Amino acid sequence: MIELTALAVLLASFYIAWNIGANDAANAIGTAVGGRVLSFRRAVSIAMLFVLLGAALEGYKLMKPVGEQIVTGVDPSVSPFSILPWAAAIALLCAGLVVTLQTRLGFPISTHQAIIGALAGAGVAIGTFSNVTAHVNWWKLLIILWSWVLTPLAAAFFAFVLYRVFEVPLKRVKAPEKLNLIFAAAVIASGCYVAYVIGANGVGTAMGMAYAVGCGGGTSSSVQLLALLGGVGVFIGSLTYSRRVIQTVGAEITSLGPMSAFVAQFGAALTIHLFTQWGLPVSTSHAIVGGVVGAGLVGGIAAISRRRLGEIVIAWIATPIASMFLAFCLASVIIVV
Amino acid sequence: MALESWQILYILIALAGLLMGWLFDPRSGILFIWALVIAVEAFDYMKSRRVAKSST
Repeated sequence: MIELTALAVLLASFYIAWNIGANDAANAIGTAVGGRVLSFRRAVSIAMLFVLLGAALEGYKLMKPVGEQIVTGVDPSVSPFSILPWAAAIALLCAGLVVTLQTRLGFPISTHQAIIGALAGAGVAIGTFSNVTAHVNWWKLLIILWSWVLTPLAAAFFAFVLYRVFEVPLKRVKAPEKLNLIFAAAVIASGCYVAYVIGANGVGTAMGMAYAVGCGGGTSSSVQLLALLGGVGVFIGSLTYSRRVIQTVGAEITSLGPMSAFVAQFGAALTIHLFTQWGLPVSTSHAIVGGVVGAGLVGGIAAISRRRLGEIVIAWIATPIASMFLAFCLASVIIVV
Repeated sequence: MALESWQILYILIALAGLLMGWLFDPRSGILFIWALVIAVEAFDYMKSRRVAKSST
């Protein structure tokens, strides 16, 4: 029975990895494809090599359950999800379903956000209907929520300022083709770096729960095998289902050229780096959308598709709420029945 | 949603790499995927260059 539950968690984790590939690939290559620096095929191929590299080299370091401080039991060191691993599988499944739906609609959202929402929902169900003690740390959730709001605003600000800073000296350059080539190379390089981070961080996020319930087996080789499984999940997700979100990030918010694609990506990277230094959880998706908006704002508010941006913001708000509600309902039904 | 032939090929390469990693060593699985994807992309690049040359 325990092995069956572990298998369910493993499958749910692979599904989350697939979702990360489908939704987060746009964070690495959306601006490159939108700015016509690379074709979709070449961008996916290059980025996925770096995703695998990140998963192989650093994925195992970050393999810990997401939101382990969100739901706590009587003993803070023992998570209620390690007592009831099937609840973890349900939370991951619900988060995955919500992310799949948002990806289908083309919205760049945070998988991390969906998982945290689903864990909180399952945690409330465990605490209310089962005999296992589970408390949801709402204060911690509020801090995370605050950083979700700040991330896109900071990225938009950095991208806007960077564009203005680069614009002045670049107006004097007499060979804009060469300049575009330099920016194109910079967009590809920063895209590879983001892909590496998705590999290291995303694979840890996806497979952390599987590792926590014992799928890893504890040996270093089996942990690396889990990282490889997560990396392959992200790879297949990007190959099969990422085109729609890439289209949104690269072309539907504003139109990008090599320089604006670069400042959008660089502004997002600066924000992620800064927030990580302060220990705040950040979403790469929120940062990249903020960066794209900041780069677009240089051309005035009319250069931004306000309708599409409004839909994305609604998707950001709806994601944790929908996964929380779905996980609460499903976990409650299973506990009661 | 129909997949193109290159996407199906890469999925097969990824799954073969996973199998290799499971049977032998995870690192060899990743190396296998890296080597094959780079080889396929290099072949595709050469082919597109040859087509471009012959059309001019």
